[in-house]
Amino acid sequence: MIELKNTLKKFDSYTALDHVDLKIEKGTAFGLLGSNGAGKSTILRLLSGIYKPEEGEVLIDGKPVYDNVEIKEKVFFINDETVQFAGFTLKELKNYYKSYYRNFSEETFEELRKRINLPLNKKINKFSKGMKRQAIVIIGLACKTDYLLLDEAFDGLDPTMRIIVKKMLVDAMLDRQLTTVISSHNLREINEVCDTAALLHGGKILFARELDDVTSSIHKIQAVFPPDENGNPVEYTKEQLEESGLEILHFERSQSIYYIIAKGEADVLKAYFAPKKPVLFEVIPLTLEEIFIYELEVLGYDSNDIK
Amino acid sequence: MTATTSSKSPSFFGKRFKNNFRENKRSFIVHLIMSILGLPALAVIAIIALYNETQYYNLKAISEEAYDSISAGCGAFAVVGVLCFIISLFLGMTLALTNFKYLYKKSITDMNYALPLSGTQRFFADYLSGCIMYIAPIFGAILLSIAILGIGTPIVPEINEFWKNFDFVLKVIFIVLIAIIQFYTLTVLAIVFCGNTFESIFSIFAFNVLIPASIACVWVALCQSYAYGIDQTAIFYNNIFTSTSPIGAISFFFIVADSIDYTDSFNTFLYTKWIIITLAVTALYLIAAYLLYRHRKAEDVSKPYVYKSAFYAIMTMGTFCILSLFINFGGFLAAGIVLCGIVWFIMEVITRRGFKKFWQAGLGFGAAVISVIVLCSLFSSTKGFGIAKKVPSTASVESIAIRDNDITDYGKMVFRDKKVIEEAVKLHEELVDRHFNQEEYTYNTVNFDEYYPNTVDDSIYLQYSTYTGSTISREYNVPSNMSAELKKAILLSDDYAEQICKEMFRYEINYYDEYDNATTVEFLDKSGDYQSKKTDKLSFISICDAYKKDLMNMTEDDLLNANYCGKIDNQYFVLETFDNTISILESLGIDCGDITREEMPNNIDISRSPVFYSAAESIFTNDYTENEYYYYDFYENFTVLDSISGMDIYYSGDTKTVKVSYEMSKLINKSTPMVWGEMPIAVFKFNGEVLFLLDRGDNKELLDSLEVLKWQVTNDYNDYDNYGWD
Repeated sequence: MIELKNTLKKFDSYTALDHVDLKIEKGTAFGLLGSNGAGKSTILRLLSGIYKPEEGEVLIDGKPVYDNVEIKEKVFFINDETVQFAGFTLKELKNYYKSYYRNFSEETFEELRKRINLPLNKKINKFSKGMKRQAIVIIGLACKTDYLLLDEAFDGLDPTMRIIVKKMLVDAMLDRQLTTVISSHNLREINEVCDTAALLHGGKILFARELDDVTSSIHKIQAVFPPDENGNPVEYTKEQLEESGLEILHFERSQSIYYIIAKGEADVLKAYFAPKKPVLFEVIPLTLEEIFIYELEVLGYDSNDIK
Repeated sequence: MTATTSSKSPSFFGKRFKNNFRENKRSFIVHLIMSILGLPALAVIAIIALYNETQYYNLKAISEEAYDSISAGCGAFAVVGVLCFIISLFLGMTLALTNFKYLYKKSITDMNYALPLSGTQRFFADYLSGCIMYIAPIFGAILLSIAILGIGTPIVPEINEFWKNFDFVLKVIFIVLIAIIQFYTLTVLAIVFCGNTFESIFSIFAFNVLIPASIACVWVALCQSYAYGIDQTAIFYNNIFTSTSPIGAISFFFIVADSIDYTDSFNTFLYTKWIIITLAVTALYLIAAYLLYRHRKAEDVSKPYVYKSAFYAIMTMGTFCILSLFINFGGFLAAGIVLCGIVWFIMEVITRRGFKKFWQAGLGFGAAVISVIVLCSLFSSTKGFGIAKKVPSTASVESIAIRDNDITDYGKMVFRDKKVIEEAVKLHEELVDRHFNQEEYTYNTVNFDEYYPNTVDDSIYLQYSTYTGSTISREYNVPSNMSAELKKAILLSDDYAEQICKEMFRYEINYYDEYDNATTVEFLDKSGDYQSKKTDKLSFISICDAYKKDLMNMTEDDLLNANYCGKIDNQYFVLETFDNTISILESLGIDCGDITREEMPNNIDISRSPVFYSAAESIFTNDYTENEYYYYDFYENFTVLDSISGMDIYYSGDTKTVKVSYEMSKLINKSTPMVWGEMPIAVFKFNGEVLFLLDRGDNKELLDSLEVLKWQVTNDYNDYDNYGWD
């Protein structure tokens, strides 16, 4: 299990992670979502023992990661760059990692390599960007670590390869309870691969939940309310609705139609609006991307504000 | 295919070493080739060159054209060999830079830090693997060179000299190995300070150059602060300089190389101490590098300096070097400050990548300038912290190297003789006492209306090597009579006999004629006439051996009273008691006996009872450093200092010319160029020789009876009317 307890990470005066708490259960496919500079890569580097936290703890299987060889041997980190492998051939790179990871499986490596048909003796700097990522992913999987950390894992992969790599990851997760932590801007991919995700912003975690819970806990409501006894249209403000306990992320009214993004199960929201006897009432589930945008909008990270 | 999941756990060092080797393969191969093209190639060239010499000179087996052509080829290849060796030494920097490149190349930082290695494992594996890759080819090249010389020995017997001095060769090998380990370690330390390629390379050069340079500059500043007798070159013998940088190690290498002439008397304590201290300093660099490595964070990569203090240390050292030279050598300080300011400004702009918080740069520069000025002022006000007062105790001195114009002929000689050490310490103590307690000494003023001043100051260099491996070097101007006892002790020591005979042999070998298989022995007798005879190498060796034997048998009484016969090769004095030497010389047909009336010129110039002076104030106060014209402009400050003694004193003064009579020839045969603690009563000058007549027996009566032919005045300061002898 992965645990971040009250973890603070600073780069000089800049706070990258501000006293973050996070738990990732073993065997989970965990997605890290967030805006640029939210702290996603910092979390992955803390988990791989590259960074040392200024405060708090970063634990894997109950033990601190930093400078801990025993734990680091259980973790494989793939960062968002591939330039570091340029001088190697795939075979050399495989041998490089094989010498450090005792559980390295030649069989797995060969099987995966053949599946994506990567040349063994060609310099990696001659590979395309996508091939480079495939190369390091199959080596990461062949290292047979308990934890695989991927920073922008699918960057540069074409749609077909994306599916193949995703399948490789899913297979490994099913076969040997591999815990995967993936950071990505591509919410659709996270949605497809991960079962749990955390949303980060400004070095803090906004939420960390199972994706099913996330998607079922925020809804878009479209509603039209009947006029009052005098025939005048009933007007609700955001504040009025929030006063009565509704957590609203987005509120918009166009003539008589209300567009509201609110937190809560569909049934709860229906029950909330039922007394207001809406003429038209529709609860629509949001995509992860929409949730990402609306959550960040609340924190002032609104794409409409960026000129 | 079968699963090949590894079950055993290889050592972290083994796996890291293997991977580092794989990554550094190209640098290693270049290093290997350069190493092989360096020393082993030089060994082969040496064999060919020596063989060529033998074939041409001894066996006459090849033509002059062939000899010249082979010699030229050897010379050209030797240059290539030396260049390759130097390149192989510098490749240590490349290996360190490659092994630790993740400290200054952001793209590979994650890859290295994420591996299942602890920081300690990673550091030592990277350090040691680079170090082994650096040293192994050089060490292999050394062994290969020795093997090549071993194979070449039966072909070229001259190589036996190499095996005779093999203990010296081993010492040099250790120095080279320790120096390159230190160079590699200092390079790693410089890299650990930085997070960027440019700064890493800059710091490597800065550390290697500025550490020895600033130590030398501090020492020069100390010496320039009127530290009496302190030798500016002494820093090159001090561990602070020789043990703290590879350049210092090169300086120590030259000290050892300089000692090859007297290998048997080379101070083992100095060598052992150097080894211990240099290894300790290298270990300190390594520990510092390790601690800083552990302390630095992965995210520090790409910062110009992870530890800004290193940058300021480099810049302060550089500023110190430039400013101290300006201050101590009378340069215009403001110009020095401006020059340093420009360099500082450029470096700050580079390392800050702009002008961010640039006021800090001004503060840093100001602090550096002030600290340099304060330090130099402190040296000046404390007169070098009184280090000039330090005189080692006789018991602590293992050996002493002395350079004296009279005796050691401008070269250094090493003495272990207790009497020599004792006299040197005694002289040193007196000089220091006269300098620091000037009020306790008085000197008689000389009346220059009456006497012509003959200054007899002598420059003497003392370099003590102690049992603790320290070296203390001093250089003084000494009135000759003060050093008389030391000179006597030197001439009576076996160390002198050993070394002067080696020197004598080397001198003669320089003039050895390969064609005639002969050398020429010259004997300069009292009349100033040369007698020269050709002799073969073996005869000359027997002269050297006989001379050594005679010197070793010489007593103090012989030295003070035995009649002086002449000099071999115009350098090596022969007394009448030197039976063995005289016997061999006479067997060659050289007459060492008294000179006869016929051998003398008709007239001889005689100066009357000479008066020698020392400019005591300038000698003991060191003031001459302030005014180079002191001797000429301030005659009134000359003072008499006790009596006069010494050896080979040059004299110029008013003379009278006398006709050479029987009495005169007797007196000439009694005269000597060597005077010990007594006043001569006359000086004879003829044929370019200066001989002194001492107040012994009837010398004075004989002198007074001489017939004067004419007066010759050479002293502008004397009144002719007052001049004359009674």
